[in-house]
Amino acid sequence: MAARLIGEAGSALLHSYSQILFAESRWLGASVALASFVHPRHGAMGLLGALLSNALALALGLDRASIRRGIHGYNGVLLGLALGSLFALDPAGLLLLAMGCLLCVMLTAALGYALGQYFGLPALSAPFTLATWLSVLAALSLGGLRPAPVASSWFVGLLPALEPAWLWLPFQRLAAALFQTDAVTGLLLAAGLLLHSRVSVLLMAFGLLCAQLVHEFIGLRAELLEGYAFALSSMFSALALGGIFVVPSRSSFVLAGAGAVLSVVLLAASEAVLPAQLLPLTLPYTLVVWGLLLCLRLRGAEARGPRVAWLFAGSPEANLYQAREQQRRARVERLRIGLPFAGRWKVSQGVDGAHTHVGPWRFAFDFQALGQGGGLHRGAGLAAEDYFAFGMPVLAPADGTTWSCESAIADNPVGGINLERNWGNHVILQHSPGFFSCLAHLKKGSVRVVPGQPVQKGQLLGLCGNSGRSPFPHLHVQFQTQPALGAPALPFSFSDLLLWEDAKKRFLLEARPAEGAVVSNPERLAQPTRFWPGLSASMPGLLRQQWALCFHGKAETWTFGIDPLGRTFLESAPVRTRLTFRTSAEAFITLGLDGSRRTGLWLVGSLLQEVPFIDEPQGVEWLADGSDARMELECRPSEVRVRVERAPGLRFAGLRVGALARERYEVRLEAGQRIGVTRGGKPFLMARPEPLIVPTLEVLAGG
Amino acid sequence: MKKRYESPTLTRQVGGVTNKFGLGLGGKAHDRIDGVSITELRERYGSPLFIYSERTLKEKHRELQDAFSHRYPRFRHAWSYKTNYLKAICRSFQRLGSWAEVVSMMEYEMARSLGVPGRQIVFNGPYKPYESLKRALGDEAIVNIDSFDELEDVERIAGELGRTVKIGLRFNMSLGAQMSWDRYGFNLESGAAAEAIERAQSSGRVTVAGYHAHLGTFVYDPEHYRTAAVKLVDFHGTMKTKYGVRLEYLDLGGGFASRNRLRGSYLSTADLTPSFERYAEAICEPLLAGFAPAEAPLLILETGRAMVDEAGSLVSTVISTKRLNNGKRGVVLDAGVNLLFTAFWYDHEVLPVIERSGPPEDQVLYGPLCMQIDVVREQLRLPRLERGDPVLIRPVGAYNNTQWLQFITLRPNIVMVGENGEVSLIRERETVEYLQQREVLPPWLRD
Repeated sequence: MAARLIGEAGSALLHSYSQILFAESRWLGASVALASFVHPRHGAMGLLGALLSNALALALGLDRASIRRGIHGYNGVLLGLALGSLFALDPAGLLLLAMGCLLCVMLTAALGYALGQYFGLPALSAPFTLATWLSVLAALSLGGLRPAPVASSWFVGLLPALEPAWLWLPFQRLAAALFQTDAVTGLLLAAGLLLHSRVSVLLMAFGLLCAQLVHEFIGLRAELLEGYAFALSSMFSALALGGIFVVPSRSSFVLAGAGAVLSVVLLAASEAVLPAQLLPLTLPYTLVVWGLLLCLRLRGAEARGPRVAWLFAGSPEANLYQAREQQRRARVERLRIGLPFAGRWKVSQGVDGAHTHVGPWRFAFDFQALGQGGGLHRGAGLAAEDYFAFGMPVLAPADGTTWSCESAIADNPVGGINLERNWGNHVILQHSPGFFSCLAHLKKGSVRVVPGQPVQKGQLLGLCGNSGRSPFPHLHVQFQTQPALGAPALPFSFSDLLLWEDAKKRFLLEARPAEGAVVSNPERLAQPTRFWPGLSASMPGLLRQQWALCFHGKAETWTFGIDPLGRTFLESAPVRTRLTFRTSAEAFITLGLDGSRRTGLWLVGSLLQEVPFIDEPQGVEWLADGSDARMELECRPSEVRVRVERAPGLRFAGLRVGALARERYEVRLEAGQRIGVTRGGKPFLMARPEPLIVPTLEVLAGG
Repeated sequence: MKKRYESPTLTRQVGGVTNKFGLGLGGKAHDRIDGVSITELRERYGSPLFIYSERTLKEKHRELQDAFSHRYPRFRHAWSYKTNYLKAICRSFQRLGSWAEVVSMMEYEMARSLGVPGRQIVFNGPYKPYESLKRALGDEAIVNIDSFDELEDVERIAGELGRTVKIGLRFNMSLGAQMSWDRYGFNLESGAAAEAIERAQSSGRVTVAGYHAHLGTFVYDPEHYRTAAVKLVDFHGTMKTKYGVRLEYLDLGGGFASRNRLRGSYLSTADLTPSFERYAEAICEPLLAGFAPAEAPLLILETGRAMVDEAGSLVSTVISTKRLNNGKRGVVLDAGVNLLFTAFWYDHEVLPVIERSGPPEDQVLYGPLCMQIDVVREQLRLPRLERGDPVLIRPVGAYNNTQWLQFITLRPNIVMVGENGEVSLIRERETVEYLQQREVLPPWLRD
């Protein structure tokens, strides 16, 4: 019991230190603490600050889990370090520190709630800044406080003179995070951070570099440059905007640089505004991060560039992996919109089309049925019936309920248009609250559904016609947030479609086909799940299957399991890798792959990102989203072959920085019998299911 | 050049009222098939000569695909081998993406030798000897079972193969005024079909994966297909609930009419023969409405005649002419029912290859066999045909090259005109040696 309490207290303390660098790691916390103790007085004040603020938070009855995570402690550490550099460590100073910590805790709780609730912003170290200011301002009136003596570090005299000076400058700057100027502090910090997250170090260095370049360009005052605030603002702005609150990517690095520069500018400005006693501390960085984050959060759904990380995962690298997994899971769980017809149709007008897909109705598609010979109509195309599209079934693009329909408008002759009832005969479906679809220009009298009738994806709604603003028989498809006819169209993508290019067929998991593209729905396999290990479709209950293989000379077994969240996975032993996947009627999708990269399971999992279950014995090419591997898929009822051509990249902390020679792999999944991988044509891996062997006890004779 | 002598004709003119049937077809010559001169082909390959047009074949295939692929999400054409199992024709369909439909072991082997994988072969028919059934099931072909005895065989084979086998069942049913042939398959109305399914599903080794319903041949009314489709959809609804049948495919056979005229038919083929579109509407509407989208089975059609009939033509030469006792002109061709088996029930189109300008005359076309039944056309109004005149008989693509006789004549050359205009021999003329290849004289009759 006591041990557990001590353990939790220790956690809270160490996490308070690591939260300064936005991490929740005890090792990092320890190294930050150690770094702070390079100047023992500062370090002691910092420690006291941490202890006091955590104790006060506990006393106030705040959430224990967040205390353990260090959320209520890091501002206290910073406060201790700041006050420690200003005032002496005597009872008066300690009292001020205590009051300051209480203020910190109050402000963290209050600001954290208010900002989070109303703006979706983190409190950052604003509580620390405000608490320090209030303490300093109060100290002006409190005469009993003595200023701090000159800081002395343990290492003075022990180390040789640090030459050349410019080499140690970055570490000196880094030490500003703890309100110190020793290169050794910075060195300790950097070491700890490097172990925890390389991208963080990279971002901080980048921010510093940008700020330094600004100085070279504009020229800041020397005092400003030497002060803590310069390095502090630039480094932390870059870190926060580059990888902590934003998913790391090339554009987030640009944002980080911009943030660093902006914070330096704001710093210069604040110097002019603030009275002499109030140091800018972390004000510029806080304001810059709040401002830019708020802007990012207010962007529209289609914005490109940096993506806000909605849940901080612990480090920029973890953010990136989590964002990727979320994207993949979102795609799986999102509504998959299918093409609303059978056979091959051509996109006669796409998004931003020249004729009618403009303004509020930009995101719409017009389709016309394509004949085998490549034409849109038989013969001369003088009558509407000559067009292949006329009278063809129009199917529901996704599950939903019929909202409204119209079926009595006459079809135009070829070339005629009806401008009064320009949508013509139509069906509007509701797929979910605020998500409707509209299929228009249907044939007179052909609508088969009535308002209120539930429809399934692929169900017949009506026949394609030539009513409304339609000179040639075609189908208009758009999605909208309101059910009214003519409501503005919503951006969307079709899922799982075949794109027919001259010689090749390409399978696209998600696409907005361009004008002139020929598309069709793929044919589905009858029984797709037979070939992937796991729950067998024919065996009810949880009969687990184990797979055995020999990879790189070592025996490996894969066991199937289901985790508490209901996700299916395969786990390898003895070296642990876990492949979390999901199998639906439409595709097999890898949700996550973690653990050792040296197992056969890792290889198979990284090659098979997504396998759609489509009937393509001749082979079809597709690009799995977000991947640079070229893949070709051949699907038969009892065997699936995936050919992957990819270049293994040199990765630095999850980001690609280079590429090696392209490798060709072929994965063969044979109906529950074998999973084989060949590399460059030669066999590389072969996994087979093992019958479950019940161990028997052997009694050895003799003695 | 010396002109051919045309004898003068004496025709009785009826003054006043003009002949309401007009002058009939003039002597317009049909000298070209897909741009290739028939006269040249005749000179090179002899007479009689079968000519197949690849372009027509592909057009028909496209028409079928156009009609069905937009109306139903999963459609597949299986080429009916019995209609024409010439390698070139089968390979053409294979290239176009069609599967194969066979009704005998012989055709099955033909399909396999062309490289058609087992899973793309539909094996129908009332006669499936044990070994052939075993082979087909072993190759995972689509086998449609015809009787309870066959079902018993399948169960035994499943045991021998050591796994569950998937089969289809053939059904026949009442189609309103007409009855689809009841000698094939299990009857829906009598309950035999349900019994067959029950037996198969409960055997533990057999799964029913498809239904097969070939309604008839030369079905003029597409509504019969609609009736059949509706009945099958209803039937499946019951079977799904009672026996848990998961339907993977629905085979509605063939039977579409081609542009050939049945004997005794008065209207022209253009008025009678329904287009693929009409058949497609009749079949796809009930299927699309009757099955839930996720459960929609693969629609297989075994269209044979309608695909290949118009692609085949026969060039024949007039051997002799005579005046019959009733005054009609009789013409003897070098091709008769030995090459045109379908002439027993069709009135093929017979067209002159060389231009003739005389008034049309009633003529009877006989073949070269010395048999009374050898009549190609009982009545034909054409300008008088003379000895040596070539004629074009069409459409002959369906069943003639599979049902032709070897009676007293050697089968002639068959050529195919490719889409690009290239002409190639696809079957060589037979020789006596070839005919007698399989014969052996018993020892006591040898020299």
